[in-house]
Amino acid sequence: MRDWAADAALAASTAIAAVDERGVVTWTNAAWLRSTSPLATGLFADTVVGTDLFAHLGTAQRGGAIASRLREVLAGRLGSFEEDLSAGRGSRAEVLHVAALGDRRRGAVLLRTPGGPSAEVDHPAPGGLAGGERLTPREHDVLRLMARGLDNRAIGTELGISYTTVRTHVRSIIDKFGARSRLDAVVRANRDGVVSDG
Amino acid sequence: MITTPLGIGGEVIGSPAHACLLHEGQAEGRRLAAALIGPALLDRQQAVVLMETRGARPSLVDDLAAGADEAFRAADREGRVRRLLYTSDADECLELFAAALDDLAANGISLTRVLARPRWGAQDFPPAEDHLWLESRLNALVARRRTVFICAYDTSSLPGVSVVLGGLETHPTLIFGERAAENPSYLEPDRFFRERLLHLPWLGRSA
Repeated sequence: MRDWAADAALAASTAIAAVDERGVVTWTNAAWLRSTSPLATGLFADTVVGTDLFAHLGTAQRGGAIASRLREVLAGRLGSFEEDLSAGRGSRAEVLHVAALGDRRRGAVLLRTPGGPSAEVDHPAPGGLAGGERLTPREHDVLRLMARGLDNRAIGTELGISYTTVRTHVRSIIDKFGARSRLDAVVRANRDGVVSDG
Repeated sequence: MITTPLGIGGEVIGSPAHACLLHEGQAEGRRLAAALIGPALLDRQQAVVLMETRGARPSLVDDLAAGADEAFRAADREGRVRRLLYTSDADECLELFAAALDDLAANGISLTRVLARPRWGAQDFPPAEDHLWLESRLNALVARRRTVFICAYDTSSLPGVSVVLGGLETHPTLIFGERAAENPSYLEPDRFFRERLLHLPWLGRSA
C-alpha cells in the first residue's frame, strides 16, 4: 500500500480511509478522524479500523449507492487512484470518489472525500499535545471539569468564572490537542495522562 | 411533576420529561410531530420550540405547518412557537435551549414542548460524540424546567449507533409505536459519560 504518511501534503489535506475486500476499514489517516465534513462525521462516525463498512453503509440513507460503488471498485472496474488524481476526477462533496489502489488481488481501496478539510499542517505529536503547546493553569482547571462531563455553565459555576471565559478556554483546549471535538479532547487528555479518567 | 396529554395514543406524559421519539421515515415523523405538538398549540399557556439543522429539507416548520394548519399559525402569531437552529458547538446548543425555555417561562408560559430533530452528519451540527454528550446533559437542563423535550430519531436515516447510544441510552422516556414508556436502557449522565462517551472507538486516535 502506498505510504500516505510520507505524502504529507495529500495526507494532511484529504480525509482518507483504507478498506479491504471484505469492506472492513483497515486504516484511517488523521484528517479522516478529525474531519468535520458531513460524510466523515455522519455516515462514518464510527468507521474506525475494524468497522465493516458494507454493513454500516447498508443502514444509512445515502449508503446504498455508495456501497454499490464501493463493491464495483473492489471488483476492479475502476482505474487507479493515481490516474484519477492526475486527471482531476472527483465528485461533489456528497458523493464519495472511490478508487482502487495497489494490489487489486488484495483489494485495498481508498475512499477519498473531495469535500474534506482544507490543508492541515499539524499532526498531533504522539503522546503529547498538538505542536507541543501546553495548557495554562486555568485551562487545566477547565479540562479537569470537562473530563467529568460538565457543561460550560457548570464549569463556570465551579471555578467562579464567566460562561464566555469557559467557552474560550474550552476552544483553546480543543485546538491545543488537535482534537475534533470536546469529547475527543478529553479522551486525548486521558490517553496522554494530562488528566486522569473520570 | 404535572401531566399533560402526549398527543398520540391517548397517552399522557409527565413534565419535566426528556423523551426519544423513534420513527421510521419522513412521513411517519411528520405525522407524529404534528400530533405531539398539538396539545401545546391548542393551550394558550403552552409553547412550542422547534430545533433542527440549518437548511433541513423539509424543515420542521414546513412539516408542522402543513399538518397542523390553523392551530400552528395561530400559535405562531401569538409568539408561542420558537425556532432554533443547531450549531456545531454542542454546549452552545444547550445554551440555546436553556435561553428559549427560560424566556418563555418568564413570559408566562406554563409548559413548553420542545421538538428537536437531530441530523448526524449535517453541517452546523455537533460532532457525533458531542451530540451524544449534549443529549445526556439535557437531562439536567430539563429536570429544572417545565418542559416536555422530545428528540425525534428517524431510524431509516440515522446510523444505528445514533439510535442505540443517542436515542436509547440518553433519554429516560421512549416514544415508540404511539406509546410512551420509561426507557429501561437509560443511563444516568455520569454513568453514560464514564462508561460510553469516554470509550467511543473513534476518539483520541492519531495518524
